[in-house]
Amino acid sequence: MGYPHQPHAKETVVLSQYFGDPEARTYQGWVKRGGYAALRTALARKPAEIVEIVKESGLRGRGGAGFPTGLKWSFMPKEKSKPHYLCCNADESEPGTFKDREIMRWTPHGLIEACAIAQYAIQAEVTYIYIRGEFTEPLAIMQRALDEAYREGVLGANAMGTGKRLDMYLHRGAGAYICGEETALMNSIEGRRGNPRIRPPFPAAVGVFGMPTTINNVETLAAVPHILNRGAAWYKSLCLSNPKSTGTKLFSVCGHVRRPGNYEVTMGFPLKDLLYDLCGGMRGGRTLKACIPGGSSVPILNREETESCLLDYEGCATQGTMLGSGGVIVFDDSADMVYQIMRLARFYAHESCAQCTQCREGTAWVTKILQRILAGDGHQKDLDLLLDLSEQMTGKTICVLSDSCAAPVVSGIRKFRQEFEAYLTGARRPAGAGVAV
Amino acid sequence: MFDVRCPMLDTSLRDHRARGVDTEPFEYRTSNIEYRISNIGHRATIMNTHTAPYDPVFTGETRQRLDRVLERYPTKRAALLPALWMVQETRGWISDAAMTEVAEVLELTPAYVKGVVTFYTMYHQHPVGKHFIQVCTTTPCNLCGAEEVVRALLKHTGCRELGATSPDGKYTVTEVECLGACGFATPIMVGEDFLEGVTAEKVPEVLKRYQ
Repeated sequence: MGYPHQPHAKETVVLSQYFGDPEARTYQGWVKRGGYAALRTALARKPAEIVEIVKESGLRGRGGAGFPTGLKWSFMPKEKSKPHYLCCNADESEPGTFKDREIMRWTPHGLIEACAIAQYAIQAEVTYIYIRGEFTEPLAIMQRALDEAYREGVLGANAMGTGKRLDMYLHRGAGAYICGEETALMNSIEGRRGNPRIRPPFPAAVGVFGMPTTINNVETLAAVPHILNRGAAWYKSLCLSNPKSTGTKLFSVCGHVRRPGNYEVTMGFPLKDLLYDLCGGMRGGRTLKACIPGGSSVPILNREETESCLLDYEGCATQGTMLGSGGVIVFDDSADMVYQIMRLARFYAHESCAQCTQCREGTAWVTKILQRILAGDGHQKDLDLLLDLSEQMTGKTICVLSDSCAAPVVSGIRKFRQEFEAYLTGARRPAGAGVAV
Repeated sequence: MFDVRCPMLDTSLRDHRARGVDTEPFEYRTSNIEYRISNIGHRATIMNTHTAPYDPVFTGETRQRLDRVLERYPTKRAALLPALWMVQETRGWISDAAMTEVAEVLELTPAYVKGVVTFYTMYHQHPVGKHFIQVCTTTPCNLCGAEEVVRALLKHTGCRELGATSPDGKYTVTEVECLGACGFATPIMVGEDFLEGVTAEKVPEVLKRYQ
């Protein structure tokens, strides 16, 4: 369901079934809707069995990287010699993405149930749900739901009456995009600056507080109870294109579409249908110019590529981009691509943790050069300079923030070069609010 | 007296050029400290013209709240972000003296605490207006007219520029990078309130609720 819209016939509603239903936020309401049944069955099984089911379902990480979830869980030590931790990544800050926010706002108990199952599967005592500081409403809703879950005996020393200990805490971020990176998130929980860590060691060996840790995105975890309730085979059957991408995915569509919002579709759904059918096409009868299908960190698609792109991990790769977090940013023909790409670069310059030189200097200089071009002071060589800079920023740093800044810049110059050149030759002068004249 | 350097890239180039440099100082008063702020280019100088004795935050109920938070983590350091939030909730901002107190309570050094405070953008290192307004202007919202919302907010609050507090001490307006509600452009935050779908036309109506 594309909250705040009515569900569309082409949607496959699993995670978003109760979006917009306030009763589902309460413990009683959630139990009435079949909630906590999956946790009960999970606690009656062996942890390794749950990992196997998730592996079998083909569920992959929904935060951006698309790593197989079951496999990630299986990296945790089997023989437990130290405390294990689960971190739920609710630091949703990728421009264009607003799906986890809706999951937490409408189905907080669904997320608690999912975390509890995952926590049991990886044999962790404690889950930290890391929510970005700006999400004041989801924070309040999640806190209320957690208090309820403790009161009802779902969590605590005797979880669901099984004698097992499951503890879960919220940890509020304080405004840093980079804390959505898994190792930076762990540092932030430990009370440090949110600088990403060098890997190896990987979190499954040395994670938060130096203990084995698994970090999963909100949407990834939210799918787990459904997989346990309806079976791995059912989840695997939700696939329209490549069998390596299974299940449903929430796409947050924003920008110049008539009906922005969250839409849940089966993996392999055509991007064209998402934009023209579900979202009602472009605003004011304009035409599509460009689209970023997976949040601001992935390469931009032009109109032809957008219309032939299939929304799964492989379909996006075929078009030279990535599924990422599923934040679809749509630009119509009024958008000034140079200005908007500068705005993206400025985002990364602001959010760089400044640990690696390539990122700290690169993001700032890309922004400055783009601002110079926009002001009409650009040089003919600036485009080559930007491409060279972007190459130096790719694959050379601890995390991928600097690569993420380079992706829209490189793809933008390649696909919309004439717009950059119009500024360089003086054919176009800066207009207001990123709108082309 | 200490200096606060505003973010290097705090405004877009066009806004910057149109704005020019404002060097006129202005003053305002909080409960027991008087501040004199002058905006010179990108630097704001804050002078504490009256040194009040420091009143600790972590006493009584706040201390008990912190003790409950400490139980959640295996180390004291991990309670640093929550402790800083408590300081900001109580005092409105995090002063150097407050950082020293947090450091003592959590057995860290003041320099370490300052390093963490300066990393996270939501912690205020100087006093802000009664209503702290953050407007998302990253690409998706920018496409939907977020910069017009910023202009309208600056105009109607009387703030002279982004990051500066209005002369009546009521408002501070800043741009923020992605608030994570891109489909409901333009989202703004006023203090702890999260508002969606704000347009330039709605700004006067919104401000009426925050006097």
